[in-house]
Amino acid sequence: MMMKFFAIFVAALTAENLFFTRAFDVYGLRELHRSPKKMLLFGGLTTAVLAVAGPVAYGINKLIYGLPFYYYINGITHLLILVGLYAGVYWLLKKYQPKVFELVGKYLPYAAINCCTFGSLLLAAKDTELDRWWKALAYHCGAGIGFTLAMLLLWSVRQRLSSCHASKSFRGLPLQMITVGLIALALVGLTGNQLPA
Amino acid sequence: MKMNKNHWYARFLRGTKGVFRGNPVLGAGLALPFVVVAASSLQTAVGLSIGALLTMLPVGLLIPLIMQKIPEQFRWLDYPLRALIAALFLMPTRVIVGAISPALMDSVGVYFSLLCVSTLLFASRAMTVEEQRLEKVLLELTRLWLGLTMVLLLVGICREVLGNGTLWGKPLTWMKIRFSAVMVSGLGFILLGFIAALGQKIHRSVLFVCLWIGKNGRTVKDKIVHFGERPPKENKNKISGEIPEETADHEQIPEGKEQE
Repeated sequence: MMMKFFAIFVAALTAENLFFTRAFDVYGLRELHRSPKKMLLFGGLTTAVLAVAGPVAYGINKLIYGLPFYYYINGITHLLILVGLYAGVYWLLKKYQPKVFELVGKYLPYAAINCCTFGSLLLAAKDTELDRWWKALAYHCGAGIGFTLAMLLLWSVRQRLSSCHASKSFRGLPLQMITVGLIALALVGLTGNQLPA
Repeated sequence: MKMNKNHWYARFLRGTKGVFRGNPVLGAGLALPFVVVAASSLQTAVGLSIGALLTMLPVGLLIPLIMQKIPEQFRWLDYPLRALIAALFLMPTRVIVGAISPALMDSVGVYFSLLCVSTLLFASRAMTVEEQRLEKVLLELTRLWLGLTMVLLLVGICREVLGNGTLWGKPLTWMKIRFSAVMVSGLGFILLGFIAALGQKIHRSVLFVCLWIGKNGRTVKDKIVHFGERPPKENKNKISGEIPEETADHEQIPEGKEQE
């Protein structure tokens, strides 16, 4: 069991990295890229949200799977889980931990509801191999940490590219995208581009 | 490089803000998953574009009205409410987009559901939050959508033609080479990088030509006709005070220097 947990965790962290293989992004990346501390805080929050929402979504998905309108309600159900979690954490932190709320309150909405968290839940719901709650937990933890590492790598790439002499047309986003593409190609080599859609 | 704000190119850029200059994808890197991975053909690009329109516009128009009714202490619900309303509008949109092609929704996969948490949706909130007039909000959202659509279509066409040798599912007989690796997300990033670089190059070139025309004080038509030609030699000689080229010889010493 431990080996399986670890294998799913590592696969979600590297070969199925949400940013490099699926291009899932979050709002406010530009502001986050100003300091790696903010990025770590944001990544930690995203991972925590995924770790809690993942097993819950697994259970709810089991309940609604097979319903006639599953295709249409699948998305909104998973989104409701994230919204409920966000609202609960926001209210609890504001009421009982005002100091923590001051620290994380600004990032909480962006960390709880974004492409990374929502997409990860939807992908796990489609994946037939994640048939136990602990497998879903391993996948979501790996996905969250993998996304945080990808953001840190992107920050590092940005720092290095800002000091290099590039053609004026390629400065900024174009060169970043090309560098990210090269890293993504290296990761695709591990999976052979056979990820489920 | 600066230019007069009444210049035609400056006016063009102001008028098409969000489409060409300040494009949300090429400038700010928003909505990456749709452009980099999901837009693998022209059909998927059109489907995603319709999906984006039918979520962005209702959310942008409804949220200000809803937020007026919500008490001050619950204003933090603004962010999740946007996502929820977008998800609600996505349900009928699925039917509309699915009608374009039965295989379209399968090829788009989870990316269609992700439209309700798109970074573009939240970026539009930041752009329109202080705008009171509804028509201005509508205009801003339309510009953002046009910017996204332009890039989606460009990427979709490039990938479909290069990867499958088809366009809108129809085979292109003249396209002999297949480059199927372009469908991989890594090459999607690279393709987007090159498109963004091409956009910057075109902008810089047009700006350069505009400034060059303005600097030399000729009419635009004259300048376009003479663009690429060398300036007349006599003008150059007048400025530098050297001997005309017809009579100049590298070994010949100018008169002035001989006297010295």
